[in-house]
Amino acid sequence: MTEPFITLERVTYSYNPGQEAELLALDGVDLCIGSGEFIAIIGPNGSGKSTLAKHLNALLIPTQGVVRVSGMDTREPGNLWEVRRSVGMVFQNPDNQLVATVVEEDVAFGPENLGVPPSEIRVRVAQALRLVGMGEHALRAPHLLSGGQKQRVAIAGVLAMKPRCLVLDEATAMLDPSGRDEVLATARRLNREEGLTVVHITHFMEEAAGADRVVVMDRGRIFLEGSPREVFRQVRKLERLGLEVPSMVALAGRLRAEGLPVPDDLLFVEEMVEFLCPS
Amino acid sequence: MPILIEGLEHVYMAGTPRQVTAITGIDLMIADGEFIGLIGPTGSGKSTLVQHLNGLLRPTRGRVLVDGVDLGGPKADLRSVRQKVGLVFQYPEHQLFEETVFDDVAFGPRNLGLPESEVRKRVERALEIVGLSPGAIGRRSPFALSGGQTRRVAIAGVLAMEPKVLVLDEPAAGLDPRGRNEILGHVLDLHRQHGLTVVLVSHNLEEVARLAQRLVVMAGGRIVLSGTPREVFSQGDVLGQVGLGMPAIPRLMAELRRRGKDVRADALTVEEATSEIVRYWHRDANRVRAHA
Repeated sequence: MTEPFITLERVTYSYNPGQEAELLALDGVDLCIGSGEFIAIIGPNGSGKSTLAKHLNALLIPTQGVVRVSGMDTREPGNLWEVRRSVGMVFQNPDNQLVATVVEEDVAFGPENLGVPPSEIRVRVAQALRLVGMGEHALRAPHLLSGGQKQRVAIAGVLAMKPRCLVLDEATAMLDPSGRDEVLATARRLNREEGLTVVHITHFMEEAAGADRVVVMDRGRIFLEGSPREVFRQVRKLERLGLEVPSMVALAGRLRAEGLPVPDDLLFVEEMVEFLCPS
Repeated sequence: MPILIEGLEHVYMAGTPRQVTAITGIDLMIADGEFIGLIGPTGSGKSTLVQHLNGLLRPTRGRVLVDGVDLGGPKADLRSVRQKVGLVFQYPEHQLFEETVFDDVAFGPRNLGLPESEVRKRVERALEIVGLSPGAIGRRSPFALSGGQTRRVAIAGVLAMEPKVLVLDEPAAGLDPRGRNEILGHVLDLHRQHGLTVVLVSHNLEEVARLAQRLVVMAGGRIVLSGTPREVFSQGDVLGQVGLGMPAIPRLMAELRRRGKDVRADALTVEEATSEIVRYWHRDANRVRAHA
């Protein structure tokens, strides 16, 4: 792996600690996110995915254990601004993340808060909108955009802070298939071309299949971890958690049971076609 | 209770500079006891269409007949129509507001002025249908439940009105696969065991195809395709053009056919694809042996 960017060491987090309604959401999580990596985090509802995500930019501070972002301990109040600037988050609902009435003002919101000079803000906003393919919508009203476009504006708002890591906390959950593709393709491009580290939390197994690494959470712990091929090969374990494997993985399993020599790490339609009709 | 839609058009903010035609030229017949999947990209007019089914929106042009009664006409009793056609909006848990689950589900029936004993019966039945125990869950606050549970409470609230037609807008959005299967399993039971007509609005083609008898595909405010899931998925290029894309299995089958493999183009499930591929695989193997 490349140099570590975010490290979690034995991170435990309890909601309502010491009370009757205490809930252990994270239970001793160790995780290292490399600089420039594209990680997908999957797991059933209530497995701790979002709680984990909120630790990556100090929205939550561990009850026990340490989170370090670029070496900075997130428990240190003095590190808070720099941690939040370098790790940006985009959330699920496209309708309650945009605050301004014009797209470019919305994107300028973060750098304004950081006290960036106006001339520099203009440059950053134009660049961020161009990077997410929304340059021509700079003067439109956010509420007239599609869900996928709104999420891309939200990503631009994060980019304008010049972060090193983008966390998508189920940012595709409320979108239609083309909106999901738009957001995911944008994140992939930023990862490849700009070297941005991406942490993508999702319920869609097909989306996780395209990541460098997949982390599967269950009851506050890391249950499985590895390349998509390594993880999705463990069909039974995933099904026990109530997760579904991508349909090509399920099909490959059935075909193997029928005696066809399908490789056991096949993930995509194109690979299945290549196996069935080798060119 | 059939629903007939004729030449329906809806224009938002008509007569202003920001006028938008959301749907136009919609003709659709929903038969008694049918299970329809309504799909289409964001902004295609799905939500506008379903809000006409119980008179929440009035047609700009055309008409909607529920059980033969024109909802825009003078004889329409919208109160009784809304009781018969239950609408579950997206993220319905945001609409829960009572202190207990029981009271929340009881809100509709109480508004109908039913006696409390009848209200209790309906609430208990509705909670049981969605798989929640009235005894264990009824006294709890709806805000202390999991995502999937609150969603089910919201659906129970509509079921307690004992509708004949259930319209659900993305009922499983944002839930994990297990939560999705639970909710959709209950919807399927309502259709099969209780004979409800169901209109399920969804982005998830694979999921609707497994459940619905008929798919209606909308794009740009119009109906662009209508037919059984197999018929609709054999029109991959149309689905691609409207930005819906094809689920993995139909996409694989189409690609295999394009490469000259003799498989059915309309296989939808992993099971169907398996049997099609196994069949041609063994046949091809036999042919190779015969030539040798």
